[in-house]
Amino acid sequence: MNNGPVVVAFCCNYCSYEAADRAGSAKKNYPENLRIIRVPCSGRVEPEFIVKAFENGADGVMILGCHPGSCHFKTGNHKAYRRYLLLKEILRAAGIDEERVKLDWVGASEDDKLVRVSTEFVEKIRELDTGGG
Amino acid sequence: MLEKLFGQKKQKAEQEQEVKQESQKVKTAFYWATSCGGCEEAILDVREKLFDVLDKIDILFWPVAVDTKYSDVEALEDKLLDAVFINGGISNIEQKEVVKLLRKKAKAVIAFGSCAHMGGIPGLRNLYSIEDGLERVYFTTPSTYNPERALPSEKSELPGGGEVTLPPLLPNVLPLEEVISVDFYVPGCPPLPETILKALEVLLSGDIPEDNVLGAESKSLCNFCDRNQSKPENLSVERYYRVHEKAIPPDKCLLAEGVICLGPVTRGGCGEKCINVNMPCRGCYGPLPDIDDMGLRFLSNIASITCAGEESTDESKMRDAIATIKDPVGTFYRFSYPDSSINKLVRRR
Amino acid sequence: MTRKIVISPVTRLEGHGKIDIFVSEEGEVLNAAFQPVELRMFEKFTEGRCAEEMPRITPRICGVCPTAHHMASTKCLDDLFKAEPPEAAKLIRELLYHTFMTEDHLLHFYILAGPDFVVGPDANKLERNVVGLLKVVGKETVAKVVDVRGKCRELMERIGGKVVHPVCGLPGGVSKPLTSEDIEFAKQIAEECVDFSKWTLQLFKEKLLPKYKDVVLNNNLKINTYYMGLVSNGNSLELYDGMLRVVNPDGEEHAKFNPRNYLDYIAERVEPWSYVKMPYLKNVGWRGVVDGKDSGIYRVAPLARCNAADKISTKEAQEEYKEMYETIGEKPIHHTLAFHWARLVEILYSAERMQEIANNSAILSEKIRNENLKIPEEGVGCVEAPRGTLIHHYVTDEDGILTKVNLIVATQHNLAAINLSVKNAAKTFINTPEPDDGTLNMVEMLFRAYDPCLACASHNLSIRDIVNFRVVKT
Repeated sequence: MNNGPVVVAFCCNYCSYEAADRAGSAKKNYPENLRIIRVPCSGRVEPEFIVKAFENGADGVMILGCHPGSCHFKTGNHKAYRRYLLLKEILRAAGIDEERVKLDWVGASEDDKLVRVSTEFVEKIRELDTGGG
Repeated sequence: MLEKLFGQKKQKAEQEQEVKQESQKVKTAFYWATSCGGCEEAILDVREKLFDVLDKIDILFWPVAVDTKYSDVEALEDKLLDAVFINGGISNIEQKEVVKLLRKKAKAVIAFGSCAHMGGIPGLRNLYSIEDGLERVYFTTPSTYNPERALPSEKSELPGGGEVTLPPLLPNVLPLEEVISVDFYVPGCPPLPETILKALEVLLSGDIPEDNVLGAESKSLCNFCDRNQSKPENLSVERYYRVHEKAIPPDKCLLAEGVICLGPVTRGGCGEKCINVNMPCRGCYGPLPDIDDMGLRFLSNIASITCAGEESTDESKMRDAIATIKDPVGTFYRFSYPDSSINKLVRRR
Repeated sequence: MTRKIVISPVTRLEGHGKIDIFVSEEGEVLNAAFQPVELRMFEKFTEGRCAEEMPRITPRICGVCPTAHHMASTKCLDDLFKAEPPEAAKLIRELLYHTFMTEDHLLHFYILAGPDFVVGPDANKLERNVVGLLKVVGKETVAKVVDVRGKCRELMERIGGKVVHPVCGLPGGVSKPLTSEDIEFAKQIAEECVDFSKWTLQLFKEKLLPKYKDVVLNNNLKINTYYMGLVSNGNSLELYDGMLRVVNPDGEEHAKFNPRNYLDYIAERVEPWSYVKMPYLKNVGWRGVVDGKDSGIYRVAPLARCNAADKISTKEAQEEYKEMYETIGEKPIHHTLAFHWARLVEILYSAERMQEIANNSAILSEKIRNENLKIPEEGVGCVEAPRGTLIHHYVTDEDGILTKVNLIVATQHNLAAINLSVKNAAKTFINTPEPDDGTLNMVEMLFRAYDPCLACASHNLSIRDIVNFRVVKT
């Protein structure tokens, strides 16, 4: 059992989840401690989910959606982005390190990007945890 | 003088007997914790109409109205009081103990007003540590001259002799239900007279709504607001204005004009008194029945209507629009911060 | 062995205060103190908030005088954004303010403190309430109080949106103009207020004063302090705006300054036995809880305001003002119980101001906002709350987000004096180690004269006195 941080990644069905799938098939390893939760669209991710993830033990939360303009549901990812911006501000004011939440755009074919951003993020969280963030 | 005292005691004992015998009347008690007193003023504002209700109610404990003491409450049988109304959040040890005592003696406890309901505006102090708060109040405020760094303390000696005590503060302000179980809520800061009367009626009738919130509507303020008609079908706000940055026309929906208004997530029933003087709702009547975290739900709302008409993919435009919203925590959570999932998360750590 | 008596909670004001009295076996009062027991840290948690929201946040300091905080805050915003409100806005604010002063002072006199005076300070505890008051002044009078207050509050709601926690204040103005219907209503109420306040003064002078003259003029209860209040340039009493003036115990002007410079004159003292800090005059200094010219302790609120001013600008209140000083025979008046008289004079003044303002047609103008706001930096707003001078001081960043907040809240200024009065009253009235309830109420009575508002309690019509005391052997 690894003792690294617990990181939850909300991945949208049509883009980032697809990328994660491909990464897996191509044996491009993304971090073990990444717990992927598939959602139909990044716009499905309500800020309550993110807070709930923290409540349930997550040390970091990612929201990975389609690039702006490419969302299967047209504007779901835009909503996700705007919610993310506001949530970060509120977390910061509340005394929770806003860097523990990260939103990024990962297209269906961007398995390399998925690996990169998730690895970087887990590292960031590990740093925050050990540095007392 | 002593006779007077004993005489009074006898009268009081007799009174208590009479009261206990009047089993038809609803036995009540009132207490305030971290309260500004506005809820008490609100009860006074009910004025003549209160007397109709008062006929059916007996007040056995109200530190400013009825001549009973904590020891008298202690002496009551458990669950003798039918309804205990408590306003104010819980912010020190004494308040914690008093509400626990009242809980024992009550059949039903009603959290009265925003502070008991959700923590209220004083709950914003949970954004800061007690140490930071003490530092500011007693050391760094510009008018304070305190080179010895004196601080109020639990036990201290008066100049001239005599030991006195102060009740210690709790690290956070808590809504009532985090200290004792609460049966009903009457929302508002303060609950308006109409709401109080309605709540009392409902309580006396026994026809209690499922969510246990009395006196207010279960639909949002927008439903009752005159300006709702002016809200476009597909609302999109490109930038937000603070209340001093814009003159708001008297018949236009504030949110549609770009002024943050918590109407969509707030219970109606307040008569939209703030809206009527061209000022936006700040959510004092609390969230709709299906909302757990008022601030987060409002966050989603705002995110949905910001640059909503945009088909473009302009991230910077969205960022700029969101950047015109200042102090989201203090605005979305003005009355409900201690009750928020975020504050609960922080408090648990 | 010393016995400790704790009056907890003190009643007919904030329920979160207590009085401790230390009495020797022989019944000599050795020491006494009044302790406010609450702290909410408004000065800290308002950091990070939007400045323009403060008129809606700070009223939650007090639900009995929210309008005072709303007004001090709004004026602070005027200063912060350097925006002078147009004439109509000033009139609207002042109308709201004087209506509020009238109803709040009436609440205090009839419901909070009245029973002491009207029924008698050591009367049967069960009579020291509105029911007892009713028997003396008659049901009609009490109904009239409720009615007048009710109408005032209705007017306040029309102007301010909500009566408890008004919302209309903006930097440079108010959020809504008044209608001619509002003004007609205001004129009607103002007249009723003037009549009723005159009637109340008559009641006080003819029925109450003769009965309690000895207690009111008891020299043991006198404390010789400085006095502070807002005044106009010509030194007439002001409640909404003006300069702060301080007179010394002999009545000589000690200082007169723009409230913006309050830090040059006022400092706050921290004591471990009180959550609430105690202001004092900087250039006189803190000498402890003592009175006299060498002690920086000063008093605020009605009596202090009357002492600090030379006159009142409205006709009938000015006559009452003169009569008060002539009757007592000295100026400044140091007798604490005279606060009640001064309060009644202020009610008349406020009622007359309501009339003056309501009859000023400029109030109906639609121009109620000065939208020329400068980049905010720092501001100070000052009003006279019913219970004393109220100062709000905000520092913000360029965006108008608060970085520092300082508040000096009315009753604070009186806190040291309240302690002194409680001590004097305890020494004057208590001469046994087990004083009865009536005696203890005499101590509370001195306290109530200040109409203290320690985060305010509100009270309902069937006010009764609660003295919950425990005699603890120490």
